[in-house]
Amino acid sequence: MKELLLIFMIISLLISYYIIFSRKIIYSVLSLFLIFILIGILYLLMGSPFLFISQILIYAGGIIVLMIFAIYTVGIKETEGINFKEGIIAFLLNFLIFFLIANILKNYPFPKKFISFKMDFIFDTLLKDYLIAFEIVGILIVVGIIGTFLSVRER
Amino acid sequence: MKILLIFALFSPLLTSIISGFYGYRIKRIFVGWICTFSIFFSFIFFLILYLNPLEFEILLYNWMNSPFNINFSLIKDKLSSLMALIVSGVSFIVHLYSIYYMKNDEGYVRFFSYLNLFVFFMLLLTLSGNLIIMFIGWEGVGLCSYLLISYWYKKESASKAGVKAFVVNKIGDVFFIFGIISILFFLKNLNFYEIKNLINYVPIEILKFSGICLFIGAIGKSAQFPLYIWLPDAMEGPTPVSALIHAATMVTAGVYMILRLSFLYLLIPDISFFISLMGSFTAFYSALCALKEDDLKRILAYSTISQLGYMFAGAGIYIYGKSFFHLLNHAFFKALLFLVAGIIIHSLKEEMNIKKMGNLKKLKYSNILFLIGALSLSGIPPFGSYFSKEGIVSESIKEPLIYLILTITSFLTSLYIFRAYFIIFYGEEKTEIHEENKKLLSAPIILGIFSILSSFLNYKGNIEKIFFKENSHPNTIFISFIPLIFSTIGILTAWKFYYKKEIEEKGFIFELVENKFYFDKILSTHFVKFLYKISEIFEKFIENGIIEGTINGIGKLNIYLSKILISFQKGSARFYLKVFFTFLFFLLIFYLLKFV
Amino acid sequence: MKIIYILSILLFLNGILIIILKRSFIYILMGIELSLSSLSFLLFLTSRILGNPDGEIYAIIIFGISASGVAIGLGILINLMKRKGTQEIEEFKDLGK
Repeated sequence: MKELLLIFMIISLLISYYIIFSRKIIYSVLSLFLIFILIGILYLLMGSPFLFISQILIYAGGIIVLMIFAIYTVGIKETEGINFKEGIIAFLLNFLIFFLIANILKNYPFPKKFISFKMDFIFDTLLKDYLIAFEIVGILIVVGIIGTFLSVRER
Repeated sequence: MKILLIFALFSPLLTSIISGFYGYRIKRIFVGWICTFSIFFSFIFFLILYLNPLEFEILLYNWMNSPFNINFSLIKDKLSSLMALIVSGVSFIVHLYSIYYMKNDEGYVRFFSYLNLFVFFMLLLTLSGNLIIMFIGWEGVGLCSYLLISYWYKKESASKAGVKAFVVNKIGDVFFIFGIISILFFLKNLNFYEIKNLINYVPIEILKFSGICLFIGAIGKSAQFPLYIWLPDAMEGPTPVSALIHAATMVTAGVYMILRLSFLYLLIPDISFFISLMGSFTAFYSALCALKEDDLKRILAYSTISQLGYMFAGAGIYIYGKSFFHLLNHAFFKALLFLVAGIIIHSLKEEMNIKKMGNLKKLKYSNILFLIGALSLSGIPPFGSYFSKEGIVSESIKEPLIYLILTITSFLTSLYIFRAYFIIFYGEEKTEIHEENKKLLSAPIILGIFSILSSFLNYKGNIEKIFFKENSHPNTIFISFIPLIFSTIGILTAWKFYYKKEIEEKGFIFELVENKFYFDKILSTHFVKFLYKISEIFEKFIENGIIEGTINGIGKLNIYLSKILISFQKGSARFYLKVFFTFLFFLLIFYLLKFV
Repeated sequence: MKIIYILSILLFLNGILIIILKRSFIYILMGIELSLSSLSFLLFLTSRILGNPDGEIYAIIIFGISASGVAIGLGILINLMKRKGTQEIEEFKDLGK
């Protein structure tokens, strides 16, 4: 079980490196699609099927599709690679921070078993304590749709 | 009484300011009369004050008491009140003269404003109660001298002469300041009365030092050797200016200072003798120079230097009474000579070269007045200057060297002035003569009368009593007649050579004297060029390099910094992102390093 | 568990890396989405570790926000294409010197 988690994680990491270095946009978008699915599977393996479904629906199903639509509407195909100097510095900083955080976390006591909650408990909390956030997210989505539509339409 | 003094001192200042700012609005002649009237006002007040034997000191403003005691105080005693009387009297007469003399001049109002300002500063110097106020007056008269010499500023030679006067004066002033500071440092006080009491507590070397320094200041102001070079060039100014400033008042400030500080110089006989020696040398040297001059006003300028040399010579060997008396007499006859010279120059349409004058029989009054002035200068009795000038010479017998120099100078004095007299008024007419302006004559006539009657100023030796309690010993007749004999020989020599004769003045000695022993030339070419070079270096390195460099540098630094700051403002969002994340990463790294 | 946590942090940093390094606008959107997604996973994991139910709720909310975010981003993309014909953000320097 743990090895499975580890394999999926490492694959998603490698795919994200591919996104950095690729030049074709479609390949990058499809890689992103794969990453989302893998993260969804990770959610599933961690014991939250709801989030798995949500991830696949929203991210993989909604966002990627939207991006592919936008790409083909606009018609971009290839783009340039990254700047070598910038890349070196960025990667170095990246790994530096990563190692520092890993160092800190190394000694932090993690529990052996993770605690999972029941779904109704989660939704209770969502609709009781986080009601406002819920509603606002709803409004945000509507505003986003309307805004995008307004900004893009032909006059 | 005190109110009178304050009014008398400040009324010239008041009229100077008023005429300076508002004088252009009223008719010009009125400005002249107002300024003259204010001086007359002061003169009447000073007369009342002089006749009143009360002596007092006024404290106008208390500036500081510790660590030094410096205040704005005025003193009225016999010395200062008599000097103030003479200053205001001669100033009044010169003002009267210049109302009509400068009538056709453009800057009439400016002239009177400056003249009144000058009188104010001179009175301040005279009435000052401590060395600082005297120094303020000292600087003030120097400033006004510059303003008035370069009065016709559009003429380049006049401006240069004004600057020369100011700069040479300033050299003396530096030493004057040294003298003041040395006294201030030791006595913490500069008030004349208080210094007089405390002077014995100062070590003798300090007294010598400050005595010398103050004397060098007096050299600059009173045009002694070697700082006399400004006075002949100062004749570029209008004639009333020469009469007032460079004959009667400003140049006598140096002598006045030594007279004021007589208690100091009594304690340092060596320095005093040196002063006397310098004075007599100057008298001799400038009399020689006057002999070879052709410009009338320059002859009178050198004559002033010479007579001032007499005064310093007398003051150096403690003949204070006669020196002061000679100062007063000199004020009268020198101003007289200058004003008559002005009339002559005016009537010959601005001709100043005596070689081009001759046979001025038409100018009867000028003839008589010039003769009076010349006789007075030569020290012929019964003019008062016999008692003062020949008095100085005969009393200097106690120092034989000085006696010798001064006696020879008496001969030269009468020689040069009568040379001028004979060349101007006799012989053939060389330039067209116009009528003399009758209105201008009233002033010299008054001065002439005073020159004749001035011996009465010293009745019963009251001037000498200012300084020493007992009268000086009367000398044997033989000694006191010798300078008189020399003067008479001088007059006769001049008559023989110059009366109705054209004499060729050439020869080696004449050439040497003509070029003033090349002193002025060496000074102006080498020394002045050297100074200019130093100025240039200063200008290049300090002015352009450091000062402008700093100012420009700050500007350039600003531009450079702002260019750097602008470079942060690329419109590119990626750049902002890069900067943002870099900064964030570094922050994070530094934070995380703490836990390592 | 620990290793998963640590690797998901690396995934998040990778997303940031995409944002910094790529010049095309669509890549930036991709980087944002990856970052947000991995962030929600991280929050979920933390809630599992700490025993706090709030983390899962945060994950749900972030889903919603990122969805609307990407919609608006694509609207921006289309507007950018209309203006300049390219979506390299280096070209859009109108606010700078």
